[in-house]
Amino acid sequence: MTAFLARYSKRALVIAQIVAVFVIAIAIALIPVVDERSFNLQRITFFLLWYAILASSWNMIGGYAGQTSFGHAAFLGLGAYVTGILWSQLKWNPLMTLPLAGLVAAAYGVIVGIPTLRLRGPYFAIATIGVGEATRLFFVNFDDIFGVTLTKGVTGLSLPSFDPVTVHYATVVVFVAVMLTTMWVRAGRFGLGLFAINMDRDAAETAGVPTARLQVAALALSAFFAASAGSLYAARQQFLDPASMFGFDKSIALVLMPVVGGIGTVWGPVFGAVLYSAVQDQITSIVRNPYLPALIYGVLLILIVMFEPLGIAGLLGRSTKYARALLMPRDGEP
Amino acid sequence: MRLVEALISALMVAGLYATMSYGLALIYGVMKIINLANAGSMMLASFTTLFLWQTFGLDPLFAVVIVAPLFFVVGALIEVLLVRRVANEKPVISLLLLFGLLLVMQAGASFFLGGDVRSVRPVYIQEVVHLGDVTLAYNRILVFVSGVVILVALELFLRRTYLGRAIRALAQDRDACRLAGIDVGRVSMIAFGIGTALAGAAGALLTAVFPFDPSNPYGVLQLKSFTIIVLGGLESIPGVAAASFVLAAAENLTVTVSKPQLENLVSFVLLVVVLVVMPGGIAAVIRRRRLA
Repeated sequence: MTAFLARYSKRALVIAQIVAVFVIAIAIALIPVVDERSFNLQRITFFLLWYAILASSWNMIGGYAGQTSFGHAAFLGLGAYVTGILWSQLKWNPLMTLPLAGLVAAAYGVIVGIPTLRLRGPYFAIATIGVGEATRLFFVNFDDIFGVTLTKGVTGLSLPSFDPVTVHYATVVVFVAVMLTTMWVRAGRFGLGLFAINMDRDAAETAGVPTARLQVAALALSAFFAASAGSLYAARQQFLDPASMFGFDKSIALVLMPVVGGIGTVWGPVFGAVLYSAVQDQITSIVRNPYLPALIYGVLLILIVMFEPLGIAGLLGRSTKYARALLMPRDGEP
Repeated sequence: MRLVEALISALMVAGLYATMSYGLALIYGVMKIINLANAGSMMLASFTTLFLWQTFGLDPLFAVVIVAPLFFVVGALIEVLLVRRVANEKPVISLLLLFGLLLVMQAGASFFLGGDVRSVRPVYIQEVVHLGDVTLAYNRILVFVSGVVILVALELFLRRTYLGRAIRALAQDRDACRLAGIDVGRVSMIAFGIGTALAGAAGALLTAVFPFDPSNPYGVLQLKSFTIIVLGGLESIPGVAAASFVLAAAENLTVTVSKPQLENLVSFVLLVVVLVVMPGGIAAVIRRRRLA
């Protein structure tokens, strides 16, 4: 088996991973078909995929390109509000506005990325904290600034209802799209360039890699998927407010999931999303203290950074050779 | 007259901003890492000050004398136990590590001590001072003076003592320091300790002005201190002082000519403008002048 994997490694592993994505997607897509009344399971799986989409989108800039974003909720919230406003004001189908929301966020990512990503050092990480906070403040004060009634500030935006089962299917489609994209980036020339920058920016530049341009492209791609998750949320939840969409706790969650799951790996963000939704759902129902999950994540983050930088994916990869070959196709590299 | 009043009150706020940003700049200079746990240390120092005030009736301004050495030890421990172990990894790793530490500090404090907003209310908190037509809050003046004293003491320490020079040398060239026989590990530990002690001092002083919220330790102030060190040039102490004043003045002007809600947007806009126009911050501009 190991010899087989070694011989056909690349193609066999890629096919195995794509099959895994489709198996998960089809299993979750069948839930409303099998049992129409499985509302709770539908909610749980929606948020599972939703967090996986967000974590994978963060991973493109934070993991592959190695630029930590502490303000990714800005893109999530932007996507949610674009869809929310078009849906409530113009009655545009929220799922049809999803690509538009993604493009708006991608453009925002380019605007933020161009000044901050051409500099070295921690400028990007610092700037993203500002971007997240400023975007939240902008949406809180939006109506005041422009003298209109669109976002309704801190009170939030109530939206007309939309069929949740349709959103369920759309979420599965976006999940498949984000997974195939992240695999494509990981395997292709684009991802190779990002990894080269991450390892040694000078060497990459000398070798002719357009460092700043690739990183901005990675941020735009990442913002696109984060915003599409926002769109899905707006279509399903019928209510948006700046605190829950742009809140710093959302940005923190977006850092935690991929890092705990395995930064820079294809499957790590998915593992992180599973763990995150489980902890969020279960721990808070056992211990009635809202601060316990954050304490657990903080301790986990420190332990992972110190002892297993590849997170859950790294731990699983240690267990068996097959798991390792599947999770880390490039000989120990994520 | 309005302008003079605005500038003086900006100067007072600048003293506060500078106190909380020195530590970040010092640690970045020496170790080239952003201490994301800075606000966490400030919050824990505020708790310590609150405890000293409730138990012994100690004024926040005097509490600095106890809190700062205590947080020197805390910082030295953070360096030895955590930061040192990831020194050879990519910068992202230390950023994530200190972010984890910030989460532990804020969630831990909220979990064990409760997440309510706290405040220390010294007797002079309501008092004001009249200087001609200008009215100033008494506690802000005290905090400003304390901030200036700390800045001057730090600058003297960094310029006049052997240890201070070693810290500055380390900020310039780590390898050359090793060749010159400086104990790089020990000096790094001390620098991180001093940086955290400064955060501790800021945390103690801030209680005399603001209430503090353990679940979101100095949220906006944390962002402002990042803006200040980027504006000041990341590792220049005088740059930090100048940047603090620029930010405070910009905020004051925004509130005067526009809406108060936009005050906090200023620091971000300034951050981006600085990144685009002068990536090296004020310090780089001054340096270029000198060379020209």
